[in-house]
Amino acid sequence: MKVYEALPPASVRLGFYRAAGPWKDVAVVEFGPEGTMHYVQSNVRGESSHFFATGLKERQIIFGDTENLEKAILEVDEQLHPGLMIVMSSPVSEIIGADLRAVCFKMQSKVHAQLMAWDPVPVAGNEAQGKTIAYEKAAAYLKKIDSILPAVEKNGVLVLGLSEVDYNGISDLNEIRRMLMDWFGLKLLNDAFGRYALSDAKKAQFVWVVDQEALPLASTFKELWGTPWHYSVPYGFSVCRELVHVIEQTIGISHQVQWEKDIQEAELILRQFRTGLESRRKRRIFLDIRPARMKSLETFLATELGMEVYCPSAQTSALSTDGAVIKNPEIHKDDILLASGLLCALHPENNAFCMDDPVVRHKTFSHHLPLMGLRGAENFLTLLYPFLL
Amino acid sequence: MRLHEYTKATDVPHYSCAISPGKHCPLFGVGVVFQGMAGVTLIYIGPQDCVYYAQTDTLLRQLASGRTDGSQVRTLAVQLSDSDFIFGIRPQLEKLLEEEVLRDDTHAVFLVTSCSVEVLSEDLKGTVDAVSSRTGKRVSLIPIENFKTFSYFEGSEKAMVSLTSGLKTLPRKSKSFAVLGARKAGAEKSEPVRWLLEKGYTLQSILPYESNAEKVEHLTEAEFTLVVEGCGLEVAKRLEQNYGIPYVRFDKRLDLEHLTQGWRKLGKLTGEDCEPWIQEQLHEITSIEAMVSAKVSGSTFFYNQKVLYPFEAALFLTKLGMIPTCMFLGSAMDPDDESRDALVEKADPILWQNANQSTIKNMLNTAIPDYFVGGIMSSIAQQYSLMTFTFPINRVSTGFDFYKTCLHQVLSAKKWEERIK
Repeated sequence: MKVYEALPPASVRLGFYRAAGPWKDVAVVEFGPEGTMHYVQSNVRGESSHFFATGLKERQIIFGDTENLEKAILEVDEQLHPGLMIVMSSPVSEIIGADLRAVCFKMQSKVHAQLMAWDPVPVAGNEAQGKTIAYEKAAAYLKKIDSILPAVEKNGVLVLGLSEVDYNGISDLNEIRRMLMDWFGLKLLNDAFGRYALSDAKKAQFVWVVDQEALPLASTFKELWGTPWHYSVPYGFSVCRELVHVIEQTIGISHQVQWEKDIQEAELILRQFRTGLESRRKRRIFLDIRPARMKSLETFLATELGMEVYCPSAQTSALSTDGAVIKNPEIHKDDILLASGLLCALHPENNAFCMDDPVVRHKTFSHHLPLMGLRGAENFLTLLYPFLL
Repeated sequence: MRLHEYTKATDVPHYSCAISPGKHCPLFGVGVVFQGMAGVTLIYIGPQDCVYYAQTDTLLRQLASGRTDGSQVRTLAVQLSDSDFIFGIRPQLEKLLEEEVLRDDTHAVFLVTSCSVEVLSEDLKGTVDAVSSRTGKRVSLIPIENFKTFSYFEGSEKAMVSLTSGLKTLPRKSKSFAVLGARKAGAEKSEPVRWLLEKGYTLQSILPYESNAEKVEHLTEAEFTLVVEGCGLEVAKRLEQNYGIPYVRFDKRLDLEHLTQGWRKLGKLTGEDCEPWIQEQLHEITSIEAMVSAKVSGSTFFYNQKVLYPFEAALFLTKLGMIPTCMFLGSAMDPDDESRDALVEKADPILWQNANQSTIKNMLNTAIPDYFVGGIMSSIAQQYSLMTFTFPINRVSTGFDFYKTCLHQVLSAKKWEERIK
């Protein structure tokens, strides 16, 4: 048993839902009480109307009855016509030993969608594990249906792991969209909210993976259709340079003149910031975001900007305890917080900027204030500078 | 299911077996009650999902209400592993409970279980009682079973009862009263509370929204209590039964007879003559009702309001001449059969649990009512050319004021396109 004083880590299940949020041709049916689904939908930002619970009731628990689940599968198939329907267990259905694989096997011939069971869902774990499982299931689905997918012309870039589900995701995605178009004339295949149909991934000529948990899916694209991919979380200037190089090498197209203009401007801004920073008191940055993004942002802040960065581990790796309370990581009064909304809000005395899981006060209205990409890096400097004064 | 077939709330069917998003979990209901309870430690125990959501929601709620200054409950999330479910957790849990309850500023500890823990039937009551008897301090269990409940209200009700059980009898404080059931700010502005304050009465506490462990311990000093929402009703009954503290119900906000009775009881308890004022209010209400009836009588309606007592609200509209044809039951449920029995004499609407918008659309395809009461997507309201209105959902408003506001809401109902103009 692990005891958390304030912020328990997000679960495997939530990670799965967050990964599946942007998939247009996927539905998820959870054999569980409806309260958990309500919580899920409050915690998955953006579209979540393709996630369902069966509203597990006492009589189903006592008699092990799965009739309600079977009806739910038929209803979702008829209403949403998903290509893939994932049937997921809940902590309660696991305790009563409901066999969801058997249900999927029984129902497969009655529905259009490919049914896949996720049973059991690990009782403990972290968000990243759940995302990995989701991407693995998506990969398995594509392998299964590849033979019936029509031939398509490859035209455009697909981004995996960045969408409206992510805090500031639409802004970040819009910057990526701009970079690809302005620098290479490439179009982004994700829609305005970052959503896409798994079966449309075949159209991509290049895949940019922003979440490392999406790598199994990117590898499957390569395996099935030879689609090249590149993984980077685009925080900072050097990641953008690297990306330009990778696209030139893998797709074989040269950058356009806009890239040179943009990078020259960015270099000038970076020099101005560093000069400004030299005359200012240095303050530690307390960086506590999801692990997949931590490394890239830390590199940008520490290596490119020359700042002192502290990355705690307590948030992301739950310690094993025998009932002792896991405390929040220690935050110094002068620390600049770049962290989850809740942690920022719990430390109103610190200069803080929300980077994930916002609370109400962090609602973003603009879709054009990126923190990723080249303009995102410039925005970061603007954001940090007043904190250093 | 038709109204005449109704047996209990949990038997009302969902339109779909696939539910999205579903109702709040009762764990949420517990968090709502405890959010401002300084001096209390609330421990959620269960699998990672349940404790993550419950804990995060409680913390977010505290932030939203500006409680980061120590005037909030201390919450802990106890996340169980596979082996905990198999081998049990009693020794570690006892140690944790003991440490918590012996903290300097802690008056009481409440252990809140989730579905999985309840399904396993581990004897947590025994654990809690053992720690309580060893330390001489208050440690209580609040068992939560989402799969047995109709809505999160039951979590709030259980939490309220648990919070106020085992209180000591204290000497009454003259001219003092407490408000029960207010889960949001502003109960002091509601009609009966305002009136009592004007008459020089002291508001002992507003439970749960503006209370804390110390105030709860002094609850039995109140001369009487006012119930403003259903989750406070059971506590009021117990306070009367166990400590002789009378209560006045203002939770039946759309039942004019009960409202009037409530005011008369309040007059009796305070020794004030309210009758002339009550008559004035009833006279005014009668004239507004006549205007509303002239507009809506004979019109059909769908009902989809979440937090008022649904049968009482439907009966209120039926008395104005309207005819309910379909009702979507949300989170609140009438605490007794009175309104439902009266309603079934007049109408027999179809009942569904907690509709999502696609369910609403499917039902509109079977029969289009004249009015839609409660939440509906503007595009759907427009598509079916519905007159729409929503009753105020501020759960602490009550009294003749609230009743009149609701009448005016009906009177000002408009079609969506007229609303935009």
